[in-house]
Amino acid sequence: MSLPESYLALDASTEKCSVTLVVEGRFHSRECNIPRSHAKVMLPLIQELLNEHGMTLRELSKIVVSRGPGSFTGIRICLSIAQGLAYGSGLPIVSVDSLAALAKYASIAATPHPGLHSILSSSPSRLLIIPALDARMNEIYWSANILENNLIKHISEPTLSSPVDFVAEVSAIISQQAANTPFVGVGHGWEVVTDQIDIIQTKCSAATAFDASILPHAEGAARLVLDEKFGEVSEDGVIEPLYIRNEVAWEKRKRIRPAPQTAPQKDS
Amino acid sequence: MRILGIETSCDETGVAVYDSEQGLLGHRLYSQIKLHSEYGGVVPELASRDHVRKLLPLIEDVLTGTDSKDAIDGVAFTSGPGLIGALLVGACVGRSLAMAWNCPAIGVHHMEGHLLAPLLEDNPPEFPFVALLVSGGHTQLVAVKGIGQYEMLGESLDDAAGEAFDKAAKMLDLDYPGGPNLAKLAEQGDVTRFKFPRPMTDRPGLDFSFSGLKTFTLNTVAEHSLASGLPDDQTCADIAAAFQEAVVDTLVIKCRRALQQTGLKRLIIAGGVSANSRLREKLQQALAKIQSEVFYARHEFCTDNGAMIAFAGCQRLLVGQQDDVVIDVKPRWPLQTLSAV
Ligand SMILES: Nc1ncnc2c1ncn2[C@@H]1O[C@H](COP(=O)(O)OP(=O)(O)O)[C@@H](O)[C@H]1O
Repeated sequence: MSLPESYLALDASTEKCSVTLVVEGRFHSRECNIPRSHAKVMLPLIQELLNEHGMTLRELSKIVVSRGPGSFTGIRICLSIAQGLAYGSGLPIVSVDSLAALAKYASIAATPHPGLHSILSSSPSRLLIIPALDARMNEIYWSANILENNLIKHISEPTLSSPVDFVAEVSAIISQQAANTPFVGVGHGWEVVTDQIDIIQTKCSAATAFDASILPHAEGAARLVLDEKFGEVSEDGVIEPLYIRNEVAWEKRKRIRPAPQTAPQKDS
Repeated sequence: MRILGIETSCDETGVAVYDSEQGLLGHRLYSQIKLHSEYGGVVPELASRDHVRKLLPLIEDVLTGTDSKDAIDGVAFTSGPGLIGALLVGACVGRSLAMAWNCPAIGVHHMEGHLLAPLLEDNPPEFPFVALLVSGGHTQLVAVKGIGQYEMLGESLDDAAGEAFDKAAKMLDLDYPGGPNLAKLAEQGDVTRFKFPRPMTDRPGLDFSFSGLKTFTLNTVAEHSLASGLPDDQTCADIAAAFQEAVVDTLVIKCRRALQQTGLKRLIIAGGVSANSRLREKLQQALAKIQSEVFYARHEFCTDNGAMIAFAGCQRLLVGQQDDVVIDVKPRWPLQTLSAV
């Protein structure tokens, strides 16, 4: 029988930065909650974990990353570090979305919020989990997921909405697909709509709980790849970050003369 | 010692392999000029997005092309000054590669990279020399005793020379980056038609100021503008020529003064504006008169590139300097604070 594989997972999609080393089916994590320190702390955290378990990068089978949505800079730090480590050690990269990683992490969270704890410990056969992250500029990244037999299933892909649309769409999902299903909302996106949570609660006849303090975590990403077989594999290390927000209003220049037919480009 | 160099401080993704025994083995550059010219200047978020997309494939190309995939002894990456998000991409990839390869890594000062770029050429200048650093973000005169031994002689109190070129170009509705486009237009201009000021040349000292020249250009353009909002084509070219001449003369006067003041006989010019032909020509003439020599890098190594970073990093790694695994980029980083090699 072959030993279960060992691998590393990284997440830096919010102000929390986390690293998980999976060795023989066990999950070992390190995290840092200091905003804007991700680049500084990530490699030392990885080195610490590897040393502690007597592992080297080359003994791993892959590197798992959250590719967003979330902080643009955080996502790039995470991907760039994963690219360097993976390319330098000849490993593939497996990328998952950070909202799924958040949903998964919430479903196994060791010390959840009391409300979340009581729902999880009742082992519902079906659970609706809505991870939401504050996207600033008064918008929210979110997705809808069902947890069934301890497995996460996306029922809507990661998207970006205004608070009003978010509340309306979540209410509709509950009314149409999950009125009798317990519901949990996790992630700091919920802080943006604290005053509208009762609108959502009235749609749901089962138990509800909210915990804005749970954020995406590398352990969620690591488990998604193992349990749900989620993730896109990249052998050459090229991964497209999931920014979602691509249409930020950068103002284009106004021309007086007509634009030249072919703009000069040097690419030697 | 064979070094992989990575440059991502602004709008060019540069990668190179430099070998201390064999010299420069290969280099590649991806320029984002086309992307940013739509916006009339660098959009930092878009720059970072492009770096993360382009860097790894570029590294793969250069390593394969130089047969260095399993032969790298150290990694050098630009860790400042520059755009923080852009710097982070190169620093994170570079530092992590070194960790995976189990080799030393070093963060390189972008302007030291520029400053040492002329040393990549066949007849490199010997130390000591005076360096004129003229790029999009910097205009500095530095006395250089050796690598890392930098004494600031003077610098711009406001806009950098490259920035002044870019802004003047914008006033003439030229594409970003304006420097090379303005220089090209100036070739068609009559340099005698307008007389622009040579700021701060009538006073002693080696500092620069280009913001007055910017205002002067703006006023001249406004004064001659037609209904379109621009002067006629010939006038635009004449303004370009007068502007370029004023910047070049100012730089030449200060360089000559710096050589006289330090008693040094060699000048190197580096950074994007050092690609300017008129500057090279006038410096050569002026320095010949005082028995001094000017050195510069080949055109493609005047603007940002990976070769200069690989070279500068190699010099430091050779003497055992290196960074730990804490990735620390510095958007602002005074050149004088570097340690000597
Ligand atoms: N031929 C030229 N004449 C004048 N300015 C130039 C020329 N070529 C490039 N530049 C200017 O050099 C700057 C870019 O230089 P670079 O060293 O790449 O800048 P930085 O290191 O600050 O990013 C731009 O401001 C550009 O307009």
